[in-house]
Amino acid sequence: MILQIARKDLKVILRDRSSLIFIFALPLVFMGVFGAAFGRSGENAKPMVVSVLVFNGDKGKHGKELIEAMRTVGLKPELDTQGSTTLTERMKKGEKPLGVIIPEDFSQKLDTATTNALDRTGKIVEARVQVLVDPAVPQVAGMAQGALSGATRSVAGTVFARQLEARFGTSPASGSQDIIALDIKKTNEGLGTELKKPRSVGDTMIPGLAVYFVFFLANGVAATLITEREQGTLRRMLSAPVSRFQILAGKMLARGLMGILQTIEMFTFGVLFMGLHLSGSIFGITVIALTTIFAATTLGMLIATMGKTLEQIQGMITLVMVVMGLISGCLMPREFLPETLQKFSYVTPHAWALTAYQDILLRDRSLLSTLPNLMMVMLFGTGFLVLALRRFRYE
Amino acid sequence: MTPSLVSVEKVKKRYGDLEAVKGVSFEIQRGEIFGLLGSNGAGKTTTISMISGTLSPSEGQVTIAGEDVSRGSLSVKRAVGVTPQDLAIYPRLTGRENLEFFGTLYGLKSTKLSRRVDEMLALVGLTESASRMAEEYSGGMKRRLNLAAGLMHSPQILLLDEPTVGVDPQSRNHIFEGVRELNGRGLTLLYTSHYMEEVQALCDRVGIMDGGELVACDTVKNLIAGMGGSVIEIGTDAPANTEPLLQELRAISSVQEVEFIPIRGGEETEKSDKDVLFASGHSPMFGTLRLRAGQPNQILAAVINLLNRENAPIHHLDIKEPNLEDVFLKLTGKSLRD
Ligand SMILES: Nc1ncnc2c1ncn2[C@@H]1O[C@H](COP(=O)(O)OP(=O)(O)OP(=O)(O)O)[C@@H](O)[C@H]1O
Ligand SMILES: [Mg+2]
Repeated sequence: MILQIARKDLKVILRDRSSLIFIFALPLVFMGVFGAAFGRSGENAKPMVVSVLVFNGDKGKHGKELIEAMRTVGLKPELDTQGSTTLTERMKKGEKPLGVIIPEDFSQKLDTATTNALDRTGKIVEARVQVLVDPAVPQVAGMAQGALSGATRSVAGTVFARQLEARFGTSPASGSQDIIALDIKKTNEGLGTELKKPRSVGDTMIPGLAVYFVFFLANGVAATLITEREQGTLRRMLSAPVSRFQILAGKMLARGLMGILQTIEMFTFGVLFMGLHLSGSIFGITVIALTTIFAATTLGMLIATMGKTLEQIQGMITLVMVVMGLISGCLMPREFLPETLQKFSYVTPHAWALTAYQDILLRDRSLLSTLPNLMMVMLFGTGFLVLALRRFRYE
Repeated sequence: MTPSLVSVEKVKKRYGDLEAVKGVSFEIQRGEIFGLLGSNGAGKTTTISMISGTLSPSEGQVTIAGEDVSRGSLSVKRAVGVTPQDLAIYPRLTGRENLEFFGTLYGLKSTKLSRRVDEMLALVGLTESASRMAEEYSGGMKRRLNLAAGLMHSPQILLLDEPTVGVDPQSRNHIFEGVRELNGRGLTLLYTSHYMEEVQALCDRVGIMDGGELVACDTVKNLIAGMGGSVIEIGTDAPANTEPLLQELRAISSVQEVEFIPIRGGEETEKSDKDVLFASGHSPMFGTLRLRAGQPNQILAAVINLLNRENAPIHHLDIKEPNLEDVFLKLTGKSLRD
C-alpha cells in the first residue's frame, strides 16, 4: 500500500516540471556558481572572529600573554582546561577550526630564546606552540593560522622589548621577532589514512550543499500534503482502507527517493567537476544521506501543519530553509557569520548533518565516531514527526 | 422487514458554535435510491461525510449494515463509496491512472484491476479520454471521473453529493444513466442534488433538510400526495370584494384551498387588461385565482360556472400537477435553486 501511494506520488512529481527543476537543476546551478566564486582563492575581506580552542599548559606568564594577543588579532580563544589530549579529541570532532596547545615550558623557552638572541650566543632555542587545524574548513583555518602567527610575533616582540628595556632602558623600534615556532598539524593526521590529499572546492562545498538542498525536500512534502487535502484526494484515501501512517510513509518514500537521486546527482557532479574526493565509506555517506532525508521529509510534514493553503506556507518555507542553510554553515563556513548567528547554528538539523558529512569526507573519521551527530539529526527528525502527527489536520 | 443498510440515528454535528446538523434520523434500505434535498447550507454534505466516516458526529451514530461507522472498520470502508461534491481526483494523473490508483487502495490488482477500470470508464463514458490528464478534462468529464472513482471497489452503497452540479446535459445524462444502471445491478444510492426533476425521477424516497433538520422523509409519491392534489390557476378579473366568491368556491366538494393573488402591473398583465384596470379605476381586480383540488376535472365546470355568474373573464387557465419543488417550497418556504 505504501509502495502504491509512493508510486502515485512519484508520477505526480515527475510530471511537475518546476519541482523537478527545483530538485535537480538548482543544485547544479548552485554548485557551478559557488565553485566558480570560491574556487580561486579563499580571499575574504570581511573581518571575522574565529574561535580557537586553547589549552594553556604554560607555567609562566607568556602563555597568558599569547592568549591576550590572540584576542587582539581577531581570534576568540576558548580555554580548554582538561588538557591537551581532550583538546585534541575535541578538535578531531571538528568543534573548532583551530586548536592551540601551549606547552608547559613555553615561558621558560621564550625567555631563554630572547636572552640568547640578545646575548648573541648563537645557541638556537625556540619556544614552540602546537597548532591543530580542522581540514574540513581550510579557508577558515588558514586565516586563523595567519592571525595566530601575528599573535605569536607580537608576544615575542613584547618579551624582547621588555628585556631590552631592562638591560638598556630603551625600547626598540621594531618588536617583531620570529622566535616562536608553530608546530602545525592537521587533526586527521596519524589516523592511518595518511594520504595527503589537497582539499578541493568540491570537498569543502559539496557536503554543505548536499545538506542544504536535501532539506528543500521539506518543501515538496508540505506542498503535496496540503494540495491533497485541498483537492480532496486525501479524504478519498482516508475513506479507503488505508491508514494515515501508510499515506504519510508513502509520501516520505516518494520524496525520499527524489532526495536520494538528488544526493547522488550532487556527489557525482562534485566528483566529476569539482574535485570532490569520495574518501571514507560510501556506506557511511549513504547512512548520513538517508538520515538527512528522513529529517527533511518529517520537517516537511511539520511545515504542512502550519498553514491551510499552499500560499500560506510557501514563502515561509523558502525563508526558513535559506536562513537555516546560512546559519548552519551549509552555504558558507559558520565562522563567516556574525557571532550571534553562529550561536544558533546547532539549532538547525543541518549543522549536525553537515558535521557528519565533514567527519566522514574530510576529517577521515569513521561512521561510528560521528554517530552522535547522526543521532542528533535523527532526534530532530523524530521530533518533527511526532509534532507533525499530533498537529496535522486531515480535514 | 429487512434491516436497512444505513441507519442514521439522532445525528448532530457542531462546528464551534454552529450546529450544522441538528439531530437527524433516517434509514436507507438496501437497493433503493434515497434522495437528500436541501438548499445551500442545509447540512447535506455534513450528513454525507458522517455516513462515509470522514467526519465523526458530535452526537448520535451512523451504522452501515449494523456496524458503527465511527469505528472505521475495514468492512464499513469497503461497503461505502463516495463521490464528493468537491472533486477528489488527481489533476496530474490520467483518467485511467486515477482509477487505477483508487482501485489499488482497495487491494485490486493486475487483470482484475484493469478490467474494473475499463468497466468504470465505459460506465461513465470516458473510455476515449482515459489516457488524457484529468486536468485537461471538461468540468463534466471531471465529475464523471469523480463518480467512477467512488465506484472502483464495488461498494454496497454510493454516496453521491451533487454529482451533476455545473455539468452539461450530455454529461448529466451519462451520470444519470450510470446511476440507474448501477441501481439496477443492486447498488444502493444516496443522491443529493439541486435538480428537482432528477431527484423526482430517480429516487424512491426523499429526505428534505432545512437548517440542519430533516423536515420530511418519505417516498416521492407520498410527499406529493401530501400536497393534496393539483393546482388550478385561473387568470381572471375578480370583483372588488372577492371574499364571497372565494367562500362559494371553497364550498365545492374536494376543493382544499382557494386563494386569489392580485397582480398589480405584474409581468403577466397584458396591456389591454392593464388599460382597462387603470382607466376604469374601480371594482374588478386582475389577478390569479389558485385552487387546490384532489380531482380537478370534476370541479372545473362548477368553477367556470361561478366565474361566469360573476361576469369574470378567464384570461388563462392552467392545471399544474404538484411536484417535489412545490413540496420543498411548502416545507421550507425556500426555493431550491439559488
Ligand atoms: N468545516 C466546516 N467548518 C465550519 N462550518 C462548516 C464546515 N463545513 C460546513 N460548515 C457549515 O455547516 C453548514 C452545513 O454545510 P453543508 O456543507 O453540510 O451544507 P450543504 O447542505 O451541503 O450545502 P450545499 O448545498 O451548499 O452544498 C453550513 O452553514 C456550513 O457553513
Ligand atoms: Mg453540500
